[in-house]
Amino acid sequence: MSKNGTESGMERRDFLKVLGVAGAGAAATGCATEPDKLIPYLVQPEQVVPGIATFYRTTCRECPAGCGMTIRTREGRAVKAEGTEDSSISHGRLCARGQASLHGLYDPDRVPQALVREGERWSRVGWTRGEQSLTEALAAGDSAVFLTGAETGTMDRFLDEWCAAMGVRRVRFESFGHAALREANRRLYGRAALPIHDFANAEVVVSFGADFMETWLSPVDYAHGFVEGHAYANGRRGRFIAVSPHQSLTDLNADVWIAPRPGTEHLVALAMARLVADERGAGGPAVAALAEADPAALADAAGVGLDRIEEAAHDFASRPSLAVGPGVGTSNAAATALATAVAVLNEVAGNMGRTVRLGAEDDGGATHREMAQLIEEMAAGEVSALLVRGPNPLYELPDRDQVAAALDAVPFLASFSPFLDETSARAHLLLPDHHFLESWGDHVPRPGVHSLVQPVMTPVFETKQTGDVLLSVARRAGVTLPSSVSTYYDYLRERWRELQRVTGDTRGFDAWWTEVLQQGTLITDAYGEVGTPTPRAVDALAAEPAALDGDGELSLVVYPSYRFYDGRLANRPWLQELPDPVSKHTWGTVLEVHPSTAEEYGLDNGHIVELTTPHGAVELPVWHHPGVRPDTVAIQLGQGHENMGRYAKGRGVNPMALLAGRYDDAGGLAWVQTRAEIVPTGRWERQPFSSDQYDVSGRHVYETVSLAEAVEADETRGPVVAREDGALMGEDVGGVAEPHGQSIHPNESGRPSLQESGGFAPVMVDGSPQAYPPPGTHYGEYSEAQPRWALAVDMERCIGCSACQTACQAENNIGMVGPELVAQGRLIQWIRIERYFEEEDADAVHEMNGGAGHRKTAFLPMMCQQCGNAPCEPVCPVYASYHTPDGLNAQVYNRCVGTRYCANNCPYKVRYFNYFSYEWPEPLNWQLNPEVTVREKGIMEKCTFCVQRIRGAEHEARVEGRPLQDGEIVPACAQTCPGNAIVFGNIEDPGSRVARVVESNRGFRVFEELNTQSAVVYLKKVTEGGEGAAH
Amino acid sequence: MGRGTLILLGIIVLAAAGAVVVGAMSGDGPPPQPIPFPHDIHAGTNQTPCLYCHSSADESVDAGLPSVDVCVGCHMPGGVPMIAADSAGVRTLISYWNEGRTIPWVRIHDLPDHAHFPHMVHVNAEDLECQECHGQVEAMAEIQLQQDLRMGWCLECHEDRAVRTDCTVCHY
Repeated sequence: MSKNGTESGMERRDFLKVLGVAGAGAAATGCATEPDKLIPYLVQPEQVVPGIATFYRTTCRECPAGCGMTIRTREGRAVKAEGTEDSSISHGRLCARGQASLHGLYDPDRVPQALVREGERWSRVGWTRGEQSLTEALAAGDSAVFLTGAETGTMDRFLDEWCAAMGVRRVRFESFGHAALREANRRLYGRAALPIHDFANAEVVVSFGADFMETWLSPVDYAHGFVEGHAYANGRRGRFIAVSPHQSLTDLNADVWIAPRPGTEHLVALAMARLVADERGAGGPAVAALAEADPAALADAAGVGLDRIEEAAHDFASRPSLAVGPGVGTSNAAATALATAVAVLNEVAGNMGRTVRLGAEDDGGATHREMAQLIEEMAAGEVSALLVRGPNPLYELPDRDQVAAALDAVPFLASFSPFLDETSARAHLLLPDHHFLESWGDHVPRPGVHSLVQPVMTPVFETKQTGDVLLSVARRAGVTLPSSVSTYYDYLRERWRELQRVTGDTRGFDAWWTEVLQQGTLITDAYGEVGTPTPRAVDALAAEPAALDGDGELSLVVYPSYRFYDGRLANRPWLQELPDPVSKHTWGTVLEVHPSTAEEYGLDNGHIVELTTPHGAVELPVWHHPGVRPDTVAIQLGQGHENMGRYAKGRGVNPMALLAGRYDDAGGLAWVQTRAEIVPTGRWERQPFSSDQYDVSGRHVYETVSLAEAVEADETRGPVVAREDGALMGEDVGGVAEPHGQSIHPNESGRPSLQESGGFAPVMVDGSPQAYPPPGTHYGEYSEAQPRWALAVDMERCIGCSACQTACQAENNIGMVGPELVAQGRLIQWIRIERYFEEEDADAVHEMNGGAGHRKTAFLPMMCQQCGNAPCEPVCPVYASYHTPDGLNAQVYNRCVGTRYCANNCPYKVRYFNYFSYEWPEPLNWQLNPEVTVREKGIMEKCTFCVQRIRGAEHEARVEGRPLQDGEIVPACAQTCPGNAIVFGNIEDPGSRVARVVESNRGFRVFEELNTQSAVVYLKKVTEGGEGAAH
Repeated sequence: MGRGTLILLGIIVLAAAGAVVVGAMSGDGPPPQPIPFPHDIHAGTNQTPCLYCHSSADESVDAGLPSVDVCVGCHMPGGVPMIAADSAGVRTLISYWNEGRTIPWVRIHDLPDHAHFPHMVHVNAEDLECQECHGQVEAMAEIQLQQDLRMGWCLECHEDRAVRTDCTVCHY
């Protein structure tokens, strides 16, 4: 082998140069296509400037939480969803579902127009005839039912008025209806209302299976508040105790996991309430509920050590605390007892009025039990016509065959769903509603919070807003409504005139209306109108475990999906491709089995088993989950659609097939109701996991520090990071710190080296890494005036929710590869959340925990580290990977020829290759961000800190003739992070937030020993006890 | 295959490709526009500023193309055809307007999608006129490409003016 290749006649780079030229020639000659057209507006809308984004504030309607949302539009098309900065519900953040709402808007399989079914065929009917046939169907019978979601605000009132005038019975239904929570508050406080929680002011949080960071009540607000109250700051750290037989993503964040037998969660809550009441000497009527509670007997019945409950109760009683639950995964036949015990626990700890408030009285709509009655009525022919808008009963309810027969027994079924879901597919008439991003409306997520929904673009399809359809139907039927408006928009404005009067504003309505539309939300009186309730005497709570059907060896837990909620969002390809935050599985469903149980059955990850219950059976692959009791298995809801378009249909299984109509006292479904049996099929299939890692496999990837060590470091060297804006992450107080002399982690390089190494310094690749940066090359060949962009990521604040991943997909036009390619390791996600289970804590392995030891979990967001001394750069033969003067490790797509050397040389594995040209079927491609090049087959791609946002802000500042401000540039991941775990900025600027945050005593860099001089500094996760460690 | 042969092959292919490009630039002239818009009359004789029609060039990445109502605002104020109302071009314009159709102009200055050119930064730069890149538009009876819009040409100017030249200035 020759030294430099010249002896063989040609250097590699020469060869590639020639190849490149030949390729260009071929491309030039092959490009005899039509010239591009430039199409101007006929009349340019006043507010639209081509190339400049327009933002609209609206409200996310993907789940009932109703986060304030801001949509970025370009040339009349929505391209990105973000949280509204000052929203009290979203805090400027969104979860992955909110980020993916654009995929609902642009779903290629939406119902495009009014359709009528003739046999198996759908044909276009036109809105006039569609409305006419609905009018006629309603006139033909006198027992029509309108099944709607649990709407709030204007739509709720409108539907009530319309149904009353039309003689139609209205049934409201939400599958996650929280009937038990309402019933518990009715019993204890005389008000059937949902609680509102303040996680930010709770230092000790106990969750009884409430997945409050995922789907429970208001997940973005709660995740945000949880991190504020829990993450290490000012020498203090909160404590999170998860009580649940199965750990969802929320529970993976727990410091303590207590795993009672399924069906006994309420016994733990009861025992805790008794102990807390005793410790605090609490009196009052609530204590009566605990009259028969004997902690020792309860702990025994729950299969949990009494000492663990005592410890949790002591914590709970001695610090500001909050108990939440039940969630779906702990809602069994005793869900109401659990909800009541939790309410009593909060009451005796003095939390009511402090970390818990009660909302307004609200019946919450039909319970599952009432829905079962409706299904019976339908089957008995007592319903002449069924109108559906929102719920999807054929998918969401148990006893699918009964529901199907009942739907068939209804003479006329009309659906307003924008998607052809299971129920709509059986409809006679489809009158598709606008997507919420095309609609007018409002939502009341909490008492006193009125959040507007406004169209952000003209409708994608020939759909029509349901309010307008109903107004038209009433006119056709000759029915007079209480309001004489002709459009739903006018109806909405009429309602808001009333709100204007409530606020005492005396301006003309239009001026006020324009202002509230720009604000997005109107707060009338957030809590004043509901007040703090006083408890009433409650009957002593029963200490009976909830019964489970059948006699299988395993208990079955069914729990909500962070990605698909109850299944209504399964047709969003971004969400299908987003790895589940816990299992890292995509595009399907897994059966979560404890490793020790799986071993008994001889099951590896990917083995297909049949899971049977007394009510049904499903076939699905196994995944070993250390966070589930060995006597329990768990399945996530949300998949297994028979319909709902190409992205949802036929993926995974719907665990509703395993359940029957079993209810708790409040009438809610007992989601955990049955035992199950595993029958191995002997088959194994490669599964689309984005990662099969459980831990760091003995490598040194991330670091932890114990609470005591962190406090000591801050005390001896001084706390480092200012928190003056209330949003700054990390520790406390007092301006910019001097760089400290010592580092508490074994690697002594310290954070200041980041500033020193600046931008690119050319260095011999075979030189000694220790000699980097070489003397005299502080900034290399570049100007000293350049910034160095850097990121700080606080592992204490990352809850693993993966919203950043979907935000990144949306911002950067990242292709969706599909399950087959995910299984081959070809998933493209510029930022990924590494989920590492830590070693089983010897103290926490408790025989009374059902044998399940608690493996704490660390989440490590991993994106391109923008190394100063980047291993990918010197190996690129065409200089497609190079260093920018502002410290970015750039990837130039138009130079890249796809050798993949760079990805092979990247120690962080953050470079992704396009094995194919991925497609965005019309109109999904409307979402593509015009600021970012769409890559094709053969191109390497990766994170560049959203360089398009950096350039955009630079251009703006330059045109305005001012310097860039710190905080002006926010990458998509940092923008949406509910925990505020990511800070971006110029590390050369000592006053920037990022420069201060990286000075933290907890700072470390991943693989620092490789001398990559990365621009991403992580802050160590803080553990409760023991000593800090490298993992 | 020797190194020389490969390079020779490359040169032949390059020459062929070059011929194609040159042919597109000079031989056949610009492709016909739906309306033969005379920039020389508008920007030359009448001294209409570029930004009157391309109104977002100083604030947006896109220079902007006048919407049809901007044309009609001068040529048919209040619905009455005026200013060269009998010329073929204005008659075509009026028929587009009356039919409620927009004008499908043929794009002449077409950068590839992987190159980002922010108009506003350049328009606001000192000593840089639109003509620098677009040529003497005010003298063109029909708009034509004056520069090949290749990267080397961009870089020449960037280097002369000592502004950033690294790839991610334009490619991302």
